[in-house]
Amino acid sequence: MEIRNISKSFEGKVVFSSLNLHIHEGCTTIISGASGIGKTTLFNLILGLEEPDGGAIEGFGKVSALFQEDRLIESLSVMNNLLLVTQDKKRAENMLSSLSLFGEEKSRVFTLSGGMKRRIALIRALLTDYDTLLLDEPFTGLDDESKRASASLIKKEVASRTLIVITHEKSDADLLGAEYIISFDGVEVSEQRL
Amino acid sequence: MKTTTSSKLRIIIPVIIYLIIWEALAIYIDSRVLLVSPVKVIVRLFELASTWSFFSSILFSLERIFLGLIIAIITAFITAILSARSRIVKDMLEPIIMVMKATPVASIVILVLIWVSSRNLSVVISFMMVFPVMHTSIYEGITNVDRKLLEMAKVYSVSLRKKIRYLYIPEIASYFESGITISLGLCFKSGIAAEVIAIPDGSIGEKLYEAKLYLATSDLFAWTLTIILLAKGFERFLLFLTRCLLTHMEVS
Repeated sequence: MEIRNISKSFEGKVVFSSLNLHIHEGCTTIISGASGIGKTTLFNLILGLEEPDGGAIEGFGKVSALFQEDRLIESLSVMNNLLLVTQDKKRAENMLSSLSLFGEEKSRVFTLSGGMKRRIALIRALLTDYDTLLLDEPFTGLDDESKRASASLIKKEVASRTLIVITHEKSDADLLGAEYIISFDGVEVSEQRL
Repeated sequence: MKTTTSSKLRIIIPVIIYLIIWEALAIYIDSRVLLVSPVKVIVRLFELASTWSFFSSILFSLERIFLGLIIAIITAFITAILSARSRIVKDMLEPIIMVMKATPVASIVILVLIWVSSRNLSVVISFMMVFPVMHTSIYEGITNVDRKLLEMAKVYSVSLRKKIRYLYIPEIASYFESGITISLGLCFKSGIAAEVIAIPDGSIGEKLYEAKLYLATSDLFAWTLTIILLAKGFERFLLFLTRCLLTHMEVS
């Protein structure tokens, strides 16, 4: 999985110029860095939501993602939000149960707390068919117990597939049992094996 | 409950005040031709409503105005979708919509009378009034769908059917409702105005024309009241249908 010589600018402001990254297939990699250095732009580039000005992104296969914002349809019920991406109602119910959301299937999303919405968005990302899962700040708004339960569900569901987590919380690496951590400041990239 | 009662009173009290002013003015002017009293209007309305020609006139006009309205809504959906998908279609339609919005109803009526029979004039006029409003409303609804939700749908490969049902329809619905509210009043007013000019046999417009001809002011007021009630009733009915549909689809 390679990101080769990627360059990207927005209205003349350079975000990346010749960025190179190697992601280890089947491993969990944390990408960390300060706010505003282009982590979310990188996320959008891998998802194909942004086109790079130059360079290539290869080998990621089918990609699912948890966005920085929950991006749930607020007027729909929890279950209908999940059924947007899967037909497997039983699997969705099991995941809801494992994140202490059993009984909330029929609740409309706008009635739920921020932490509950985050967990539902995570379940939706996990229910999608993917080769690579991208998570952007997955534990925002979660208490310690929900964080642990979510990390455990992520590890179980991702299994041997590739997981890339964008975060500025280095403690997330331990929770998810990450194997690599890539730190970058927009120009310099350093990879560390954990 | 308290709020409902007070909001009802806020509508009823001004209406009663205006009716009293109207009645007082009618007594003061004391002329059946210049200003007829509200009581006499209601009495006349009941007299008219006891004749078959009252209902056949309503049916004649409603049928045509409603047909124009339905054709306009369907066409507006098609053109709005095409405009949202293609810049060329949008640019090509823009001047037509602008001309339709700006042209005076009287000019359209006279022009259309050259092309179609007076019987079907209100179908065309109703269409011409509703189409530009509904096209703009539906187009706005389509282009205002949350870009972030559309990206989410792309990433998760959400089917087109589900995207339409859960992303587009709820957004379009609010614009559709405001479009209906604006255009229904317009289409009734213009449709009937067109009938007054073209005087098709058995229409509401013909009845209004006759009232003017014979200086039957009570008839004029009674028919006007009928038109207001019909327009308001239709608006409520269409909004009710829209909301029922949305609730049924669990998108509201």
